[in-house]
Amino acid sequence: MKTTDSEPPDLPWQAPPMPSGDVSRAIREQCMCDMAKRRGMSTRTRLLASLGLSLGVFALFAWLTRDQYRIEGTFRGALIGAAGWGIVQTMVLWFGLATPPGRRFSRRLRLVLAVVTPVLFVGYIAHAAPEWVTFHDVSHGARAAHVVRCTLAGLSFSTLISGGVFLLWRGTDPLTPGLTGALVGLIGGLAGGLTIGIACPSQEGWHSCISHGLGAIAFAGFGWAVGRRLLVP
Amino acid sequence: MEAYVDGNPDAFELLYRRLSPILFGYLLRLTRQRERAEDLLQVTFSKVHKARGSYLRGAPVLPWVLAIARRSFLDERRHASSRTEDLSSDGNLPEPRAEDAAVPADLSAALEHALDDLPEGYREAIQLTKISGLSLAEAAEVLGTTETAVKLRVHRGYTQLRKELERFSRTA
Repeated sequence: MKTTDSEPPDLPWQAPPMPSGDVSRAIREQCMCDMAKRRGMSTRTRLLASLGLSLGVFALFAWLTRDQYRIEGTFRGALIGAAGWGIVQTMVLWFGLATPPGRRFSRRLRLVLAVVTPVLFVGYIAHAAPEWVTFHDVSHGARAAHVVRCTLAGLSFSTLISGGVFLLWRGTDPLTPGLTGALVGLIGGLAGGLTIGIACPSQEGWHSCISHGLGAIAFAGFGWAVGRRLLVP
Repeated sequence: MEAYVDGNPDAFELLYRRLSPILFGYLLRLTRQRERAEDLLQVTFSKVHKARGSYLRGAPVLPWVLAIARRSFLDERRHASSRTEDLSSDGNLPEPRAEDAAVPADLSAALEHALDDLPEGYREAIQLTKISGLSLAEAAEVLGTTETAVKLRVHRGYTQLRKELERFSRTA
């Protein structure tokens, strides 16, 4: 038996008990009657499918909205930003999901990742916004309607992507399902925010933060709750 | 585990022989009732069997299975707490088991008795690290807490156990 650093194994523990013969027989019968190979998707396939889903939705929407009005020169900047955040998303996917449970970073580090990343994302959006109007302006009239449209579209993309990622990784983490779920939600929230960000002509700060950024925070919290149900075997 | 997932019956047998005493011991200490522990062992293996396709290659098996067992126990306890207490046919609460009040026969039995009397958090931390053989990091993952917290619980639990054993030695 392995022991911890804190105490020597100096106590006379009894030998581990055995379940009764009837119970062992019942378990063997239950499991042996269905011993067919049950190899699910490999980690690599799950990882590539998760990335493909995010990238596919992003590329499809960017292509569908290619003729929309975009401020000259900002599209390239938005693409570079999206590529940078795409790398962050890939790292979250790698360290949070593709590394097998029990070999991942400590719970505390992953918690920091789940909390700080969406906050940084909103901070980046706020910092990159070239214009700001008053909150009153953005919460009334046509601007408010635009905020609602973009928010709904962003949430739809986030739901689609995090739903797909949840399905791909379903039942894989009995150890920290809530935290892993938060990271899945974060991946969906980031991808949804980037997708709507690339198609939306508005560069206004409030609009970008609310419609494009807050989804990442909301989905990290939402993913925490969903992960506790979907990611446990 | 890999061979079991690939459908090898011998691998299941080997896995069962290695895991069942550890799992059963863990569940027995959580439930303190042999029948409940056996039921939960069956539930746990059933879940492991159904979920074997979603096992990620390279994940440590024991913490993976113990986490499933712990979750099964917590689910069962949550359901049980919503049910009314079982009464005997004449409407009284069942009598406590004779073994609860028994005086331990030797040091090892006294240790088990003392472990049973520890708070659940201490008992589980000691069970996982000292008896099931998990590392502090693995036990922290299973319990959903930090390594430091597990270390502290083990230390405090051991302090209480030693006091109980000293008391037993003096009286014996």
